[in-house]
Amino acid sequence: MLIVDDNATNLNILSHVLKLVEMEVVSLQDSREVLPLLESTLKENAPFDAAIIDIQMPFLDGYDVAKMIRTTRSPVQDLPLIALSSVLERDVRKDRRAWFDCFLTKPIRKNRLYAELKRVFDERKETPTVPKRTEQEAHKEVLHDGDKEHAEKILLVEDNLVNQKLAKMMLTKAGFHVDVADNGKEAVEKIIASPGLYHMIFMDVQMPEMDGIEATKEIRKREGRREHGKKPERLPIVAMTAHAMKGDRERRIEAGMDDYLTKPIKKESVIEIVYKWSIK
Amino acid sequence: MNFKELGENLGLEEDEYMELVELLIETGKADLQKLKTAMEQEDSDEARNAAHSLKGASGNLGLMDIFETAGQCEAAALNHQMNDLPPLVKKIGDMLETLSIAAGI
Repeated sequence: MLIVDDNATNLNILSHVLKLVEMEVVSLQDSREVLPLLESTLKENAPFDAAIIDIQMPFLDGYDVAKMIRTTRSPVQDLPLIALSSVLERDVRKDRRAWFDCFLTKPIRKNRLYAELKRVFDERKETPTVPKRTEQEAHKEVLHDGDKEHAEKILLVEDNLVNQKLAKMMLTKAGFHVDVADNGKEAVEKIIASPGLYHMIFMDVQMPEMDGIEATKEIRKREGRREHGKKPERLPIVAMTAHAMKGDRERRIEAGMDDYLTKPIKKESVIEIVYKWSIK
Repeated sequence: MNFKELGENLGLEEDEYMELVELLIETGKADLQKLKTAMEQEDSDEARNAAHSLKGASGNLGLMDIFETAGQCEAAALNHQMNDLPPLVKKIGDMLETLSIAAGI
Protein backbone atom coordinates (compact mmCIF):
# COMPACT_ATOMS: atom_id res chain seq x y z
CA MET A 1 0.00 0.00 0.00
CA LEU A 2 1.29 3.42 -0.94
CA ILE A 3 0.16 6.34 1.20
CA VAL A 4 0.71 9.97 0.23
CA ASP A 5 0.10 12.92 2.52
CA ASP A 6 2.14 16.07 3.11
CA ASN A 7 1.28 15.93 6.83
CA ALA A 8 3.73 13.67 8.66
CA THR A 9 1.38 13.08 11.59
CA ASN A 10 -1.41 11.87 9.32
CA LEU A 11 1.04 9.60 7.50
CA ASN A 12 2.22 8.04 10.74
CA ILE A 13 -1.27 7.37 11.99
CA LEU A 14 -2.49 5.99 8.68
CA SER A 15 0.58 3.81 8.38
CA HIS A 16 0.04 2.50 11.91
CA VAL A 17 -3.62 1.67 11.19
CA LEU A 18 -2.73 -0.22 8.00
CA LYS A 19 0.10 -2.12 9.65
CA LEU A 20 -2.37 -3.33 12.28
CA VAL A 21 -3.92 -5.47 9.54
CA GLU A 22 -0.49 -6.52 8.34
CA MET A 23 -0.26 -4.43 5.24
CA GLU A 24 3.09 -3.39 3.91
CA VAL A 25 3.14 0.37 3.79
CA VAL A 26 5.27 2.88 1.91
CA SER A 27 4.78 6.51 2.92
CA LEU A 28 5.47 9.54 0.75
CA GLN A 29 5.27 13.13 1.92
CA ASP A 30 6.08 14.73 -1.43
CA SER A 31 3.39 14.09 -4.04
CA ARG A 32 5.88 14.76 -6.84
CA GLU A 33 7.63 11.49 -6.03
CA VAL A 34 4.54 9.33 -6.57
CA LEU A 35 4.73 8.69 -10.29
CA PRO A 36 8.49 8.01 -10.42
CA LEU A 37 8.06 5.55 -7.54
CA LEU A 38 5.16 3.77 -9.23
CA GLU A 39 7.10 3.45 -12.47
CA SER A 40 10.12 2.05 -10.67
CA THR A 41 8.06 -0.58 -8.83
CA LEU A 42 6.72 -1.61 -12.20
CA LYS A 43 10.25 -2.27 -13.41
CA GLU A 44 11.03 -4.27 -10.30
CA ASN A 45 7.80 -6.18 -10.82
CA ALA A 46 6.62 -5.42 -7.30
CA PRO A 47 3.64 -3.15 -7.86
CA PHE A 48 1.46 -1.64 -5.15
CA ASP A 49 -2.01 -3.03 -4.50
CA ALA A 50 -3.47 0.42 -4.05
CA ALA A 51 -2.62 4.00 -3.11
CA ILE A 52 -4.26 6.24 -0.55
CA ILE A 53 -3.77 9.86 -1.55
CA ASP A 54 -4.54 13.00 0.40
CA ILE A 55 -6.34 15.63 -1.66
CA GLN A 56 -4.98 18.79 -0.11
CA MET A 57 -1.24 18.87 -0.76
CA PRO A 58 1.25 21.46 -1.99
CA PHE A 59 2.84 21.29 -5.48
CA LEU A 60 0.64 18.49 -6.83
CA ASP A 61 -2.66 17.97 -5.09
CA GLY A 62 -4.46 14.63 -4.91
CA TYR A 63 -6.39 15.27 -8.12
CA ASP A 64 -3.23 16.14 -10.03
CA VAL A 65 -1.56 12.94 -8.86
CA ALA A 66 -4.62 10.82 -9.70
CA LYS A 67 -4.89 12.37 -13.13
CA MET A 68 -1.21 11.71 -13.83
CA ILE A 69 -1.60 8.09 -12.77
CA ARG A 70 -4.77 7.55 -14.81
CA THR A 71 -3.30 9.07 -17.95
CA THR A 72 -0.01 7.17 -18.02
CA ARG A 73 0.22 4.61 -20.76
CA SER A 74 1.54 1.95 -18.41
CA PRO A 75 -0.20 -0.61 -16.18
CA VAL A 76 0.16 1.93 -13.38
CA GLN A 77 -2.98 3.61 -14.71
CA ASP A 78 -5.19 0.89 -13.25
CA LEU A 79 -3.91 1.19 -9.70
CA PRO A 80 -6.80 1.40 -7.23
CA LEU A 81 -6.80 4.92 -5.80
CA ILE A 82 -8.41 6.02 -2.57
CA ALA A 83 -8.76 9.73 -1.85
CA LEU A 84 -8.54 11.29 1.58
CA SER A 85 -10.60 14.40 1.51
CA SER A 86 -11.79 16.98 3.95
CA VAL A 87 -15.23 18.41 4.41
CA LEU A 88 -14.15 21.56 2.64
CA GLU A 89 -13.67 19.83 -0.69
CA ARG A 90 -17.17 18.59 -1.22
CA ASP A 91 -18.05 20.84 -4.10
CA VAL A 92 -15.31 19.81 -6.50
CA ARG A 93 -16.08 18.90 -10.08
CA LYS A 94 -17.51 15.43 -10.27
CA ASP A 95 -15.36 14.39 -13.22
CA ARG A 96 -12.28 14.95 -11.06
CA ARG A 97 -13.69 12.74 -8.33
CA ALA A 98 -14.09 9.95 -10.89
CA TRP A 99 -10.30 9.51 -11.01
CA PHE A 100 -10.61 7.76 -7.66
CA ASP A 101 -12.11 4.41 -6.69
CA CYS A 102 -13.39 5.82 -3.45
CA PHE A 103 -13.40 8.87 -1.23
CA LEU A 104 -12.75 8.78 2.46
CA THR A 105 -13.43 11.82 4.57
CA LYS A 106 -11.36 12.86 7.54
CA PRO A 107 -11.18 11.97 10.32
CA ILE A 108 -10.44 8.45 9.16
CA ARG A 109 -12.16 5.78 11.19
CA LYS A 110 -10.22 2.55 11.40
CA ASN A 111 -13.12 0.24 10.68
CA ARG A 112 -14.46 2.34 7.86
CA LEU A 113 -11.03 2.41 6.23
CA TYR A 114 -10.78 -1.40 6.35
CA ALA A 115 -14.32 -1.79 5.03
CA GLU A 116 -13.76 0.62 2.13
CA LEU A 117 -10.45 -1.03 1.20
CA LYS A 118 -12.15 -4.41 1.13
CA ARG A 119 -14.94 -3.00 -1.01
CA VAL A 120 -12.45 -1.50 -3.46
CA PHE A 121 -10.50 -4.75 -3.73
CA ASP A 122 -13.71 -6.77 -4.16
CA GLU A 123 -14.93 -4.45 -6.89
CA ARG A 124 -11.60 -4.65 -8.64
CA LYS A 125 -11.76 -8.43 -8.67
CA GLU A 126 -14.89 -8.15 -10.76
CA THR A 127 -13.69 -5.34 -13.01
CA PRO A 128 -9.92 -5.06 -12.75
CA THR A 129 -9.53 -1.87 -14.79
CA VAL A 130 -10.29 1.70 -13.83
CA PRO A 131 -13.92 2.03 -12.88
CA LYS A 132 -15.75 4.00 -15.51
CA ARG A 133 -18.24 5.72 -13.32
CA THR A 134 -21.13 7.63 -14.67
CA GLU A 135 -21.48 11.13 -13.43
CA GLN A 136 -24.64 10.14 -11.65
CA GLU A 137 -22.86 7.46 -9.67
CA ALA A 138 -20.10 9.83 -8.68
CA HIS A 139 -22.71 12.34 -7.63
CA LYS A 140 -24.50 9.79 -5.50
CA GLU A 141 -21.28 9.12 -3.66
CA VAL A 142 -20.72 12.79 -3.00
CA LEU A 143 -24.10 13.04 -1.34
CA HIS A 144 -23.47 9.90 0.63
CA ASP A 145 -20.18 11.27 1.89
CA GLY A 146 -21.86 14.54 2.72
CA ASP A 147 -24.31 12.80 5.03
CA LYS A 148 -21.49 11.21 6.95
CA GLU A 149 -19.70 14.50 7.34
CA HIS A 150 -22.76 16.11 8.77
CA ALA A 151 -23.12 13.26 11.20
CA GLU A 152 -19.73 13.90 12.74
CA LYS A 153 -18.66 17.12 14.30
CA ILE A 154 -16.24 18.29 16.90
CA LEU A 155 -17.62 20.40 19.69
CA LEU A 156 -15.22 23.12 20.79
CA VAL A 157 -15.96 24.60 24.20
CA GLU A 158 -13.94 27.73 24.93
CA ASP A 159 -14.90 31.10 26.42
CA ASN A 160 -11.87 33.03 25.20
CA LEU A 161 -12.86 34.34 21.77
CA VAL A 162 -9.32 34.48 20.38
CA ASN A 163 -8.53 30.92 21.45
CA GLN A 164 -11.90 29.78 20.20
CA LYS A 165 -11.29 31.26 16.78
CA LEU A 166 -7.73 29.90 16.64
CA ALA A 167 -8.72 26.34 17.55
CA LYS A 168 -11.62 26.44 15.12
CA MET A 169 -9.32 27.68 12.36
CA MET A 170 -6.83 24.88 12.97
CA LEU A 171 -9.51 22.19 12.95
CA THR A 172 -11.38 23.58 9.96
CA LYS A 173 -8.18 23.89 7.95
CA ALA A 174 -7.47 20.23 8.68
CA GLY A 175 -10.88 19.34 7.28
CA PHE A 176 -12.97 18.89 10.38
CA HIS A 177 -16.38 20.32 11.01
CA VAL A 178 -16.61 22.33 14.21
CA ASP A 179 -19.39 23.66 16.42
CA VAL A 180 -18.59 26.15 19.15
CA ALA A 181 -19.93 26.61 22.67
CA ASP A 182 -18.91 29.60 24.83
CA ASN A 183 -19.06 27.80 28.16
CA GLY A 184 -19.78 24.48 29.81
CA LYS A 185 -23.47 25.15 30.21
CA GLU A 186 -23.91 25.80 26.51
CA ALA A 187 -21.92 22.64 25.73
CA VAL A 188 -24.16 20.47 27.89
CA GLU A 189 -27.23 22.01 26.23
CA LYS A 190 -25.83 21.25 22.78
CA ILE A 191 -25.10 17.65 23.72
CA ILE A 192 -28.63 17.20 25.04
CA ALA A 193 -30.18 18.87 21.99
CA SER A 194 -28.29 16.71 19.45
CA PRO A 195 -27.34 13.33 20.90
CA GLY A 196 -24.88 11.49 18.68
CA LEU A 197 -24.02 14.56 16.57
CA TYR A 198 -20.56 15.08 18.06
CA HIS A 199 -17.77 12.56 17.94
CA MET A 200 -15.48 14.38 20.31
CA ILE A 201 -15.23 17.46 22.51
CA PHE A 202 -12.40 19.89 23.10
CA MET A 203 -13.12 21.47 26.46
CA ASP A 204 -11.45 24.45 28.06
CA VAL A 205 -11.11 23.85 31.78
CA GLN A 206 -11.40 27.34 33.23
CA MET A 207 -14.63 28.99 32.05
CA PRO A 208 -17.38 31.20 33.52
CA GLU A 209 -20.96 29.92 34.00
CA MET A 210 -19.94 26.28 34.09
CA ASP A 211 -16.30 25.19 33.94
CA GLY A 212 -14.95 22.26 31.95
CA ILE A 213 -14.82 19.93 34.94
CA GLU A 214 -18.46 20.51 35.88
CA ALA A 215 -19.60 20.22 32.26
CA THR A 216 -17.75 16.93 31.82
CA LYS A 217 -19.31 15.50 34.97
CA GLU A 218 -22.73 16.56 33.69
CA ILE A 219 -22.17 14.95 30.28
CA ARG A 220 -20.88 11.70 31.80
CA LYS A 221 -23.84 11.56 34.16
CA ARG A 222 -26.22 11.72 31.21
CA GLU A 223 -24.27 9.12 29.24
CA GLY A 224 -24.64 6.76 32.17
CA ARG A 225 -28.36 7.39 32.28
CA ARG A 226 -29.04 6.74 28.61
CA GLU A 227 -27.76 3.17 28.42
CA HIS A 228 -29.79 0.20 29.54
CA GLY A 229 -27.45 -2.66 30.26
CA LYS A 230 -25.57 -1.78 27.08
CA LYS A 231 -22.01 -0.53 27.06
CA PRO A 232 -22.33 3.26 27.03
CA GLU A 233 -21.15 5.27 24.03
CA ARG A 234 -18.44 7.33 25.64
CA LEU A 235 -17.80 10.64 23.94
CA PRO A 236 -14.07 11.46 24.03
CA ILE A 237 -13.52 14.68 25.98
CA VAL A 238 -10.16 16.40 25.65
CA ALA A 239 -9.28 19.12 28.14
CA MET A 240 -7.52 22.27 26.98
CA THR A 241 -5.55 23.68 29.83
CA ALA A 242 -2.72 26.05 30.61
CA HIS A 243 -2.22 24.52 34.04
CA ALA A 244 0.32 21.90 34.82
CA MET A 245 -0.35 22.10 38.52
CA LYS A 246 -0.32 19.11 40.78
CA GLY A 247 -3.77 17.67 41.27
CA ASP A 248 -5.12 19.00 37.96
CA ARG A 249 -4.66 15.71 36.18
CA GLU A 250 -6.48 13.86 38.95
CA ARG A 251 -9.33 16.36 38.87
CA ARG A 252 -9.72 15.91 35.11
CA ILE A 253 -9.66 12.13 35.25
CA GLU A 254 -12.09 12.07 38.15
CA ALA A 255 -14.50 14.27 36.19
CA GLY A 256 -14.32 11.86 33.24
CA MET A 257 -12.01 13.63 30.81
CA ASP A 258 -10.04 11.32 28.54
CA ASP A 259 -7.05 13.33 27.42
CA TYR A 260 -5.63 16.83 27.47
CA LEU A 261 -3.93 19.47 25.36
CA THR A 262 -1.68 22.06 26.93
CA LYS A 263 -1.97 25.70 25.97
CA PRO A 264 -0.69 27.40 23.95
CA ILE A 265 -2.23 24.94 21.54
CA LYS A 266 -0.20 23.68 18.57
CA LYS A 267 -1.78 22.66 15.28
CA GLU A 268 0.12 19.36 15.16
CA SER A 269 -0.95 18.30 18.63
CA VAL A 270 -4.58 19.28 17.99
CA ILE A 271 -4.75 17.21 14.79
CA GLU A 272 -2.86 14.33 16.36
CA ILE A 273 -5.30 14.13 19.23
CA VAL A 274 -8.33 14.20 16.90
CA TYR A 275 -6.94 11.26 14.96
CA LYS A 276 -5.93 9.46 18.13
CA TRP A 277 -9.50 9.50 19.42
CA SER A 278 -11.12 9.03 16.03
CA ILE A 279 -9.47 5.72 15.24
CA LYS A 280 -10.21 4.17 18.61
CA MET B 1 6.70 42.39 14.32
CA ASN B 2 6.85 39.54 11.85
CA PHE B 3 3.20 38.52 11.55
CA LYS B 4 3.94 36.12 8.71
CA GLU B 5 6.35 34.14 10.86
CA LEU B 6 4.07 34.22 13.92
CA GLY B 7 1.28 32.85 11.73
CA GLU B 8 3.52 30.17 10.28
CA ASN B 9 4.40 29.00 13.79
CA LEU B 10 0.72 28.20 14.22
CA GLY B 11 0.36 26.66 10.75
CA LEU B 12 -1.69 29.62 9.54
CA GLU B 13 -1.53 31.97 6.57
CA GLU B 14 -0.67 35.57 7.33
CA ASP B 15 -4.20 36.83 6.61
CA GLU B 16 -5.70 34.22 8.95
CA TYR B 17 -3.26 35.24 11.65
CA MET B 18 -4.14 38.90 11.14
CA GLU B 19 -7.80 38.08 11.72
CA LEU B 20 -6.82 36.65 15.10
CA VAL B 21 -4.66 39.68 15.92
CA GLU B 22 -7.58 41.95 15.12
CA LEU B 23 -9.81 39.95 17.46
CA LEU B 24 -7.11 40.02 20.13
CA ILE B 25 -6.87 43.81 19.95
CA GLU B 26 -10.64 44.08 20.24
CA THR B 27 -11.01 41.66 23.17
CA GLY B 28 -7.73 42.92 24.68
CA LYS B 29 -9.11 46.46 24.91
CA ALA B 30 -12.20 45.11 26.66
CA ASP B 31 -10.01 43.15 29.09
CA LEU B 32 -7.94 46.27 29.69
CA GLN B 33 -11.07 48.23 30.54
CA LYS B 34 -12.14 45.48 32.95
CA LEU B 35 -8.70 45.63 34.57
CA LYS B 36 -8.99 49.39 35.07
CA THR B 37 -12.47 49.09 36.58
CA ALA B 38 -11.28 46.25 38.80
CA MET B 39 -8.38 48.41 40.02
CA GLU B 40 -10.75 51.26 40.93
CA GLN B 41 -13.06 48.89 42.76
CA GLU B 42 -10.19 46.91 44.29
CA ASP B 43 -11.81 43.77 42.92
CA SER B 44 -8.93 41.30 42.70
CA ASP B 45 -11.09 38.42 41.36
CA GLU B 46 -12.28 40.47 38.42
CA ALA B 47 -8.72 41.72 37.77
CA ARG B 48 -7.46 38.15 37.80
CA ASN B 49 -10.11 37.01 35.32
CA ALA B 50 -9.41 39.83 32.89
CA ALA B 51 -5.64 39.29 33.09
CA HIS B 52 -6.10 35.54 32.65
CA SER B 53 -8.18 36.04 29.53
CA LEU B 54 -5.60 38.36 27.97
CA LYS B 55 -2.74 36.08 28.97
CA GLY B 56 -4.38 33.04 27.36
CA ALA B 57 -5.19 34.78 24.09
CA SER B 58 -1.81 36.46 23.64
CA GLY B 59 0.06 33.29 24.62
CA ASN B 60 -1.76 31.24 22.01
CA LEU B 61 -0.91 33.83 19.35
CA GLY B 62 2.76 33.80 20.39
CA LEU B 63 2.70 37.46 21.48
CA MET B 64 5.02 36.84 24.39
CA ASP B 65 5.50 40.39 25.71
CA ILE B 66 1.76 40.82 26.31
CA PHE B 67 1.55 37.25 27.60
CA GLU B 68 4.25 37.84 30.21
CA THR B 69 2.90 41.19 31.44
CA ALA B 70 -0.66 39.84 31.64
CA GLY B 71 0.77 36.89 33.60
CA GLN B 72 2.37 39.32 36.07
CA CYS B 73 -1.01 41.07 36.44
CA GLU B 74 -2.73 37.77 37.09
CA ALA B 75 -0.17 36.81 39.74
CA ALA B 76 -0.43 40.21 41.45
CA ALA B 77 -4.23 39.99 41.54
CA LEU B 78 -4.07 36.44 42.86
CA ASN B 79 -1.91 37.66 45.75
CA HIS B 80 -4.18 40.69 46.29
CA GLN B 81 -1.25 43.03 45.53
CA MET B 82 -3.47 45.53 43.77
CA ASN B 83 -0.85 48.30 44.11
CA ASP B 84 1.37 46.45 41.66
CA LEU B 85 -1.25 46.62 38.92
CA PRO B 86 -1.23 50.23 37.60
CA PRO B 87 2.23 50.17 35.92
CA LEU B 88 1.56 46.70 34.46
CA VAL B 89 -1.85 47.72 33.13
CA LYS B 90 -0.34 50.82 31.55
CA LYS B 91 2.34 48.66 29.94
CA ILE B 92 -0.31 46.35 28.47
CA GLY B 93 -2.20 49.35 27.11
CA ASP B 94 0.97 50.56 25.37
CA MET B 95 1.67 47.10 23.96
CA LEU B 96 -1.81 46.79 22.54
CA GLU B 97 -1.41 50.21 20.98
CA THR B 98 1.92 49.22 19.40
CA LEU B 99 0.39 45.98 18.13
CA SER B 100 -2.54 47.87 16.71
CA ILE B 101 -0.26 50.22 14.79
CA ALA B 102 1.97 47.39 13.53
CA ALA B 103 -1.11 45.51 12.35
CA GLY B 104 -2.47 48.62 10.66
CA ILE B 105 -5.75 48.41 12.57
